[in-house]
Formats: sequence, C-alpha cells, structure tokens
Amino acid sequence: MKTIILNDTEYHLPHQPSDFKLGKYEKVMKILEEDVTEIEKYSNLLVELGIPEEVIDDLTIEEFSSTIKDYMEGTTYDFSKFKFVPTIEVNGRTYQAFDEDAEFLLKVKDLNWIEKLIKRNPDKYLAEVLAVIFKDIELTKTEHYTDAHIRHKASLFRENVTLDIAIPYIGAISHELLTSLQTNVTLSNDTTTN
Amino acid sequence: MIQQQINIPKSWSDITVDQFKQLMTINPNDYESSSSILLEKLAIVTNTMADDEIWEDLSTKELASILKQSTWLNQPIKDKHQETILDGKFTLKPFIQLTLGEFIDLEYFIFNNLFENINKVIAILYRQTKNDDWGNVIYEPYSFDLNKRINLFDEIPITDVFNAIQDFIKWREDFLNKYAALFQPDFDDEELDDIEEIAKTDPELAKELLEDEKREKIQKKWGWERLLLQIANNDIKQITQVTELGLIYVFNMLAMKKELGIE
Repeated sequence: MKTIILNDTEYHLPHQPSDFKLGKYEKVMKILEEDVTEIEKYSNLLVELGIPEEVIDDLTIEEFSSTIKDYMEGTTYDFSKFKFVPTIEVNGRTYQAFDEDAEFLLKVKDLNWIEKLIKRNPDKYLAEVLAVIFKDIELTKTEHYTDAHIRHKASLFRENVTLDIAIPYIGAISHELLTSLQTNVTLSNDTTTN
Repeated sequence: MIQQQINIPKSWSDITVDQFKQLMTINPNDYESSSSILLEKLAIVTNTMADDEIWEDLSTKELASILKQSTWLNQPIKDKHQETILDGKFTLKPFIQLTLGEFIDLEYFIFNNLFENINKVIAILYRQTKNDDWGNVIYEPYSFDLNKRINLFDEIPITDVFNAIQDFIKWREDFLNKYAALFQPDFDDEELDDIEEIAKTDPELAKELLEDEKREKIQKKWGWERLLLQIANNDIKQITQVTELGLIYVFNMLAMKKELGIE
C-alpha cells in the first residue's frame, strides 16, 4: 500500500499489484483510459483509490501534482518477477490452473473461450480470463465450460483475487496471441488460387 | 502428445475433394473466435471433429507446432491434375469438345460459389469414355444426373482435379476474349454518359437511349437463356438440342452471323 498524507490525514492507497483486487484494477484502468482532461482523470483516480472527493477538490494545483507524482512513483513493474501461482483458494473452494509439479500450458480450448469473452467485453475481461484458466477442482470439464459458471466465478475472482496472480497469465496469453499463433500459419481461406 | 495420436497431412495431396470443400466453405461469422476457426480447419484436415476428445487438452504450444507443419495450407495447389481419375473410369474432356450446355453450366457453377459446387464442376469436366468402332475416344453425353454423380468424387485427392478447373478458367478467358465482339453492346457507351446532357437538347433521343440501356440490362440478366432461345429460333422445344451443339461450333456460327450481318 502507498501512504499519502493530505491535510494531516493518512490515506492508504492500493499501489502494488498485490494490493489491487481485479475489480478495483479494472475500474482504475477504465478511469485512466477515459477521454477527459488530465486533471479530471487523475482526480477520479484518486477518488477511486480512496481519497474523498472533497479533499481533492481543496488541493492546490501544486499539491495535486505532487500527490499524483508521489503516488505514481514505483508503479512501473518488472512483470518477469511475478510467478505463476498454480492454485488459489476463494471462499473455501480450490481453483487450479495447472498441476503443482508441471508448467503452465495454455489450452486451445481455454484460448477459444478467452477470445470470445474479450470480444464480448473488451473493457472488462481480466476476471473472466482467470475464471477460464482456474478450474474448480470439484467440477467436471463440462460443468466448467459454461457461460453461467464462468460468469459466476469471474464475479468471485473480481472481488477476491489480486492482480499479481493475474499478471503472469495475462502475459502468457498475450504472448501466445502475438507470437505463436499470429506469426505462424493462420490457414486462411484465400490460399489456393494460383 | 497430439501429434502422435493423429495423422497430420503433409501436403495438399493428402486432402480429399470433400475436405477441401469443407475448408473453403467455412464461414468465419459462424465462429466466435479465431482459435475456434483454426481448430475447425485442423479437425477437417485430420478427419476429426473440433469437439473430439483428442483436441480437448491441446495446448497452444502443440497447436503452434502442428501449424508449423501445415504451412503448405497457405500455398497454392501446384500439383498438375490427373487426366483420368477413379482408376481411369473418368477422363478429362478436352475443353474444345465441350458442348454449349456444358459450358453454360460450368460458367454457372464456377462463378456462383465454386467451392460449394466443386463436385458438379468435376462431374462435368471428367467423363466416362468409350471407343467407337474405329478406336476414337467418345465422351459420354451430358445427359446424366449431376446430383447422382457428385458423391463419387468426394474421396479423391484434390490435387488430382484442382488444376484442371484452373486450366478451364484460363481457357475460358482466352475463349471469351476471342469471341469478345459477340458480347459488345449494340449502342455507343459514350452516349449513355451524356444522357442527361442530351435530354436538355433532344429529349426524344435521351428517352430512346434510356430504353436501350434498360433493354441491355435485361438482356445481360438473361444472357445465356436469350442466346439459347435465339439459336433455337425462339422454339423452346429445340433448346435441349441447342445445348448439345459443340461450343466452338456455336460461337463460330454466331461470330460469322454477326460479321455478315445475318439476323
């Protein structure tokens, strides 16, 4: 957490990936992508992170800039430092992405689901992606791969799973989409005319 | 490992006409993701179903490896076609021996969704033969039911026939270029561009040109039917016989009539 002191009051703001639940991170990203003035954007950001709006409204420009600068320090992460976590527990249930003694391998079936979910909602899919990858160990494959189950699990993960868990998986999926499949054969239909 | 369990084809010669047709008629709009389209195509070429258990645990790493072996799918089919198929039972009919009816049907099937109609195109191009009393090869007449024959070709390699179709398309282009004069409109195109201008000074001529244009469009719509009726002297009972005439013969006669101004 990052402590920001304003008007002698301490505010503890989520700062590192392990501080952010997925839902909170999605909201922060949405704010940062909004097409508004910089001041409005960062004001909304600070409110979302936990500083009351009236406190921000009373800041001078210098105090506002200084607060933002202070908060943004240390928000550049070395993604390679985040390790794959094979199993997570949420509300007493265990969800597994891969066996403890194996490496994470993205399944084509999962990639298919992930693509669909991203297409449906390009602004909000982090929790859904993890919901596809992490499977309830007590359910069958058939039970896992349904819209209702994925949606329910995404909702749970949004409230309970932190960003540091998601980072390596998102990185792996992006890598697969950008390298292995895109730069290889795509089996297009227009390949047989001479 | 998936690759040990299924047979990944190594070239187009491992793909049948039916598999080719399935590949070429995949509609991307029917799928929610590009990876599902990819999986569908792999399932087609390996004679499996996309939801088979064998693909259940396929990792993207394995998929990438399979795709690396399948780069030939992005290459054109270069293999020369076979002159005979199905153990010599069917022979490629020389294009110059095609009848008018065969040519018209080929036009239709090739240029109205070739991949859906590929079996019909093969059925018209490849025919049974026999020798006459003097040892000349005779091709069976175009009187068989296409729909009953098309399934015969499903399992033959696509490479056996594909470039016969490509060769026909090239031959057709040369053929139509040779008889291009037969397809020229009867009136000057430049006059059409100025119809609005003409209407200001000569409304009667403008009206006539507009009617000519309308007639031309209708004629283009009914192109082949109109030609058949014309050759049959407007007797629809004669049309079947007209379709059995040799293509080259018909076009030579039409070219002669046009040149000599014979109606």
